[in-house]
Amino acid sequence: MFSLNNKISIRQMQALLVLDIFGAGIVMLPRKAAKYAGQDAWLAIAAATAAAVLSVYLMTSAGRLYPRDSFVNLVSGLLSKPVGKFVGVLLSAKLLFNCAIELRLFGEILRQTMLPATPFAVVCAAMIAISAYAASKGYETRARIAQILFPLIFVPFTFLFVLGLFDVDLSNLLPVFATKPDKLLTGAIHAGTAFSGLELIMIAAPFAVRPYAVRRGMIQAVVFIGIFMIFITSVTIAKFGPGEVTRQLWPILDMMDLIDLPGAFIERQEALIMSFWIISNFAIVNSGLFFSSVLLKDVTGKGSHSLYILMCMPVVFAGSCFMLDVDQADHIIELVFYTLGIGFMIILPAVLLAAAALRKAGDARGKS
Amino acid sequence: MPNASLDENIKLFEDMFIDCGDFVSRKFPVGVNKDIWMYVAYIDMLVNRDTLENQVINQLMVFSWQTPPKPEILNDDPLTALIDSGVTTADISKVYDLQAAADAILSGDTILMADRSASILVVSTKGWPSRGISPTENEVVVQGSKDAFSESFRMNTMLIRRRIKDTKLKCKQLVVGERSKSSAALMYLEDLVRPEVLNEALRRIENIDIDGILDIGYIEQLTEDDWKSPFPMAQITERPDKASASILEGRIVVVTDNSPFVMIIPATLNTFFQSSEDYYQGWQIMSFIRLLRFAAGIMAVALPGLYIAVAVYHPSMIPLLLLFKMAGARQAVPFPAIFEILLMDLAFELLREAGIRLPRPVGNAIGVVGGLIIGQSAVEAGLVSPFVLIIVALTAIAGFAIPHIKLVSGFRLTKYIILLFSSVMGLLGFWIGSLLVLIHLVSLKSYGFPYLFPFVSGDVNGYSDMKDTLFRAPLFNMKKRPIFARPNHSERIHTNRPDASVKE
Repeated sequence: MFSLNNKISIRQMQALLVLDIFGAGIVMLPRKAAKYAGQDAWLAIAAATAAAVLSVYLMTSAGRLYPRDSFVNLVSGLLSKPVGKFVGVLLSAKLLFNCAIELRLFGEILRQTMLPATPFAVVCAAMIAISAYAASKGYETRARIAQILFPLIFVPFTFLFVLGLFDVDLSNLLPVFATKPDKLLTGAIHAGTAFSGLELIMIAAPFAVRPYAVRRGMIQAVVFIGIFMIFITSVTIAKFGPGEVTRQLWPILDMMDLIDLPGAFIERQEALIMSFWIISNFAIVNSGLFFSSVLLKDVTGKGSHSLYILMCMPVVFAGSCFMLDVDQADHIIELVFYTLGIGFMIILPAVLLAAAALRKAGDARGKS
Repeated sequence: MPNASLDENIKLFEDMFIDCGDFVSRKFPVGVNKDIWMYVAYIDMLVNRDTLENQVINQLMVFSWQTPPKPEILNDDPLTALIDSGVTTADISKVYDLQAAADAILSGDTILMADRSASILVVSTKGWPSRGISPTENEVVVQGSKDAFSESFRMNTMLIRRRIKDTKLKCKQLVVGERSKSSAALMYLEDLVRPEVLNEALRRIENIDIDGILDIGYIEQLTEDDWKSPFPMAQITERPDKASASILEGRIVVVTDNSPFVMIIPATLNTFFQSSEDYYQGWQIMSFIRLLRFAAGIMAVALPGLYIAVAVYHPSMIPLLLLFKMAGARQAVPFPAIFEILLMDLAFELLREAGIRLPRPVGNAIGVVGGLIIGQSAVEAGLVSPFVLIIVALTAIAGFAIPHIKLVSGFRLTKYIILLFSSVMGLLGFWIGSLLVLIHLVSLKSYGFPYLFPFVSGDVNGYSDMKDTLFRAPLFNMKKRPIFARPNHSERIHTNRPDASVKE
């Protein structure tokens, strides 16, 4: 029934993935997409979504080779043990780095909008502590938290943007298909950074109750988040116009602040927006801490994941304390995405599939 | 095993009851020739004297000898012969050691010993005075039955049995408490209850090793899943209809001696927002009320913290006109907002405690004095602002709107966590406090069921349990039993809604 076996349903996995992706990348997405694709930003995001679906297909195909094996065991089995351990540590480092950058950006936004006098270290320590507490409770508990938080973020967020639809200039989205393919492609590549975190699928897949249903479930989740991104980006561009959006640091936040809530029961919406931000940041940091600890536990083969969470906490804290402005942080995020991100999302699964084909290895059903 | 000598048995038996003033016994001769001696013992006021005297003693001493048993049977086993010819009550049993006999009379039964007999007869004569069936006091409803459980164990099981006339309704009895030897019973429908839940409940109750069980609260605390949590892991109710409805859902009701409350297991957060009345009235109004209750739950735990976060850290969120009024009202208050909230909230907690302990008419007066006079005086004296008074009052009223008092107790404690974080970090603190509570809630389980089911893991039962959460679906639409029932017996309504339109 509900045994404590650290197994979760596909529905829960979907909620977790969507929350893991829904981070800083989203609020900057319209700027990045519009910078290269102009009013056709939505096409660039659609192309990025298609690429993300392809990546999910590759990752889940690799995962199906040995569906019950952990990520480290899967890589170790196909590419040798040292490689498996190295890849595990590298991915763990990448996840911790993502956490630190997300926290840095979160702290910056918080300082600019809500808590100008509160030291960054306090904000950061509080977020890391609460995220670590959630991560220490295990995957089942994290999945249940995601199921509660998912509607808490997406229902009001969607409601706000639907309200925003009443005050937009749709001509800002015209003409359609006017952007050159190379610009569109560049826009798609930049928009793709919003899908950073997709590689978590490979670590999460063995936790699924029905591992063979992971592919379908994850593709659905990616398509959902893609459609959501297209919707909010289009509304933002329709409101401000592509030119204005490229000059904004956080176009989504600016858009949300301009939307009139019916009844005017809230004077300024910044604090409300920050509520979404706090929750999404919590989701990302606790996910990073959890999966890093799981990877490190698999690499060493010793101890409980809670121990590794404790070890990861100061690393994330120290990483987030590096003084970076938003542009620098964004630049580093892109750099990591184009190297490690694409490496884990596309190249590694492709290598694993090739290795399996050469060795004729893998679960019979998985291969079929 | 007692000796065959009656006198020796009597001596050993009465030694156990030295200095027990309520112990009553008599040795009396029976038979045509008055040559067989018997011994009767019971505890005063625990037995029904009418039953004892008319159906046991009178029969043995007088009527059984109008048709005496055959001498050879009488000589072989006098006690059996006497039972057959002299005891006219059906509820009898035999025990073979004196300790069991002592336990029996302490439970309100009467024992009979006879010459040359190795067994002791236990006659069920329980009949102590009780206050009978009283109306509900804590879970009052507008529509629905008015009877409540009482301190009588058997009366409580009867109140459930009267509502579910099914042989599959089982009443598994246990004795709990080394010294109190309290009767406890697990009542459930054997074809609906999940065996793993039943076994686990039995295991936990059987493992209780304590000197006395004086209320169902003992069993609740000694069997709960997480003793550190302020949230209740089992439902406690005084309403037989609620208990019966739970049994029909595949859950287990635990009844115990001397408690006018019964315990329902397993329980989820959602079940604490349900009231028996929800199903007696139309789904529209009850859905509205259910929604209101959930909103009240959120208010009870989060409102003071949210007020502090917004009023102190993010006043720009508040509409300008309201902000001016709030600032004006706070102008004369010398304390920080957190202190104001704590002052009024603790004053309210004091009033609540005083109101419960005092006799009802005085308790009402305390409510008036506390709520109106002290509140108004505190505002006029500039100790608190009227907005704080409104926030504290709203939080308290929200707590009263939740049907289960134990859940409110959990909220009462956790609201201070959110309040504390909010007072330190504003809205960020509010969310950190709220997430802390949420993480705790999602990690809880009651007999294996996630505490936040069906808001989490609802897909396990095809989301059908969602029909009885924030909204209550029409009864005919709630075809499946909740997750608590065995999956192969999940259907509870077999017919569709009858068509109201009559074709001519």
